[in-house]
Amino acid sequence: MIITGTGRAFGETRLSNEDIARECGAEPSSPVFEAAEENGFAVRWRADADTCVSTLMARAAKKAIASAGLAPEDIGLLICVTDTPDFVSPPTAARVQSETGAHNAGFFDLNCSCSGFVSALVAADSLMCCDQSLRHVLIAGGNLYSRALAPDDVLSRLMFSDSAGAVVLSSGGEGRGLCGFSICGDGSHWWRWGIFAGGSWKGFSPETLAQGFQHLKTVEPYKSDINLKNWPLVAGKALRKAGWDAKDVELAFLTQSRRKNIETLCRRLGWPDEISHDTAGSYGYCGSGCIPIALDDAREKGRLRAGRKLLILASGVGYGCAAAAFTW
Amino acid sequence: MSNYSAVITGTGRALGERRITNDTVARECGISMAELETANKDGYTVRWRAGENVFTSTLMAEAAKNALLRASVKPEDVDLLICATNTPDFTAPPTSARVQHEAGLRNAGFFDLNSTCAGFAMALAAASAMLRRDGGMRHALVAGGNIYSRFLAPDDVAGRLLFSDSAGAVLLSASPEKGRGICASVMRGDGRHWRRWGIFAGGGWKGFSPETLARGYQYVKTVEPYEKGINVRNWPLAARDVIEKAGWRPEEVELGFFNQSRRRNIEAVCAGFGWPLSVSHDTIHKYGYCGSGCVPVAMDDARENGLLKPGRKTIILTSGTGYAISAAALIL
Repeated sequence: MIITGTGRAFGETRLSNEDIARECGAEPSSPVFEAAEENGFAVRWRADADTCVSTLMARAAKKAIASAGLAPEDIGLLICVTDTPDFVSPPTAARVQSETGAHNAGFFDLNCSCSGFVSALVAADSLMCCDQSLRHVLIAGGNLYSRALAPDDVLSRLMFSDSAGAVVLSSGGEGRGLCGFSICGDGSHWWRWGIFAGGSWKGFSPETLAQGFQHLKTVEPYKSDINLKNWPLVAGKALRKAGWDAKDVELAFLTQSRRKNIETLCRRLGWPDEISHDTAGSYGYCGSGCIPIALDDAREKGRLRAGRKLLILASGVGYGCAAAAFTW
Repeated sequence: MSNYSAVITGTGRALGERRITNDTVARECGISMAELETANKDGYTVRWRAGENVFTSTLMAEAAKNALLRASVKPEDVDLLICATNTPDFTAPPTSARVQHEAGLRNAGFFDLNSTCAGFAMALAAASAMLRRDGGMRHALVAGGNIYSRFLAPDDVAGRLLFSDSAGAVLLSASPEKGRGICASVMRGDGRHWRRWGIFAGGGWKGFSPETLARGYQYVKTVEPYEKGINVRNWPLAARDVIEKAGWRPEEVELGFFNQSRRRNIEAVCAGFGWPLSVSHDTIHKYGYCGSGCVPVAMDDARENGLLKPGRKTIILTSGTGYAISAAALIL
């Protein structure tokens, strides 16, 4: 199975660091802005009031379908990866299917916070391996975080970008595609970080809302080295399954929440930093959309050529971490 | 692709603590039994309600542990966990993170899957495919469950009659035995119906605003009812396609696990294929309507009753709002 189409879409308004400072009444020279700049966050995009994550996913999906030279009716399955859905129920994917016109596609949402895209890629590829009638699967990943941020959460406002990316996975391409994967997690961290309202735990009660659980909340920060420890392990597992050495990898697509994670992984695996196709400077941190947006950008820039060996790795709160060795 | 099959080796279920009878529903909704019976066209008799400190994850973890016990598999030997629900514990992180932790599945990767009540068959197909694709994974746990009671308006008689707080889980194990496990799956949907029914608050669309909550969008809400017959039309098509894909003849099907929200859907699919109604293992009279947990809860009951015999040709069919439908053909 190979990726035959990619697409991306962003919120309508581009916000600079100065815009965020103004909006939050914060000092642009304060440490939080320095931290953002260290991670390369210079811009982020904000969706209009009428735009939902389904809107962004449908826009990205249409572009991916067009770039694959397909019609929406050719899609047999649609997977929407997000942890900021349109609603609790039904799945956001229902709305994306309708807006994209992918009438022949079964659909589901997949949530594993920011690590979900890799799991979706693996699930899609596996389903296609077991069902030859499934010829094209669309995977969209996206978030609309801006509506889940507290007004005074400067750090998150600097980081999160309303965005979506999509890829079309198509059957064919002997010897190319997914070569190995690893999906790992440590759920003991579930309570550290989340949008805890809106579910069976804390619901919609006045107390829940008064405590700000409808906003993204850090109850207790993750240890700063959780990714530094897990990324090399999970990457190593995926590479071993593929029978690759670290030096075989030509291009990497990684969760872009912290530059230090990327630099550390590159150093451990003996890679030059440029191996990682980073787009945080142009698009902000795109959460579940990180990987497909960077793939679309890399494709546009001519970095993706048939046969190139990619490592795709995403991690997120929960804690979840997943990696795939993938030959383009 | 490995040479492994993904075989069901364990099942488990968990229900809310309290069994709620129709007279309790009538009392809670402030209506008479006569009014309740008028509303109760489908004849629901019982449902279960979770206590305050019980969440979707709690029920799923309990069902998962039960499935592992039945299979005599240790929690740390599970490599993948998929939780199918449309009433998660929270918006983020995934409910599966909490289930992984509570069930002690520390080596399992995890994710949530939501396609309302159609999600379980999809999750089972995805887990089976991933197990077979990888070749290195030993066991995958698929849990499906809901806590609906917290999403029902106080006066929602229909919702209170229908929904049961519950979860079920199925353990799939990689096996060198050929010719067992999932033979075919079908996933379809018509997303144009997305706005008819849902819990529309809590996300990017309507959020948590005072207006949203004043209008009751934090509750299950029917904005515009689904046209009658959508399931009666779609179920036989999905069943026919999955049976054909598996290379079976309809008369070979020995056991069926269906979404149990309405008996007439089950009757329609059975009548269409000439199956006796007894093909369908129905448990709604014991457990109420279990949503995403419907199929695994019924499977666990079937196991208890000695019905899950190796080699039996079984079909699973689930559908839900969205509109989504999914079917799987499997050999036990």
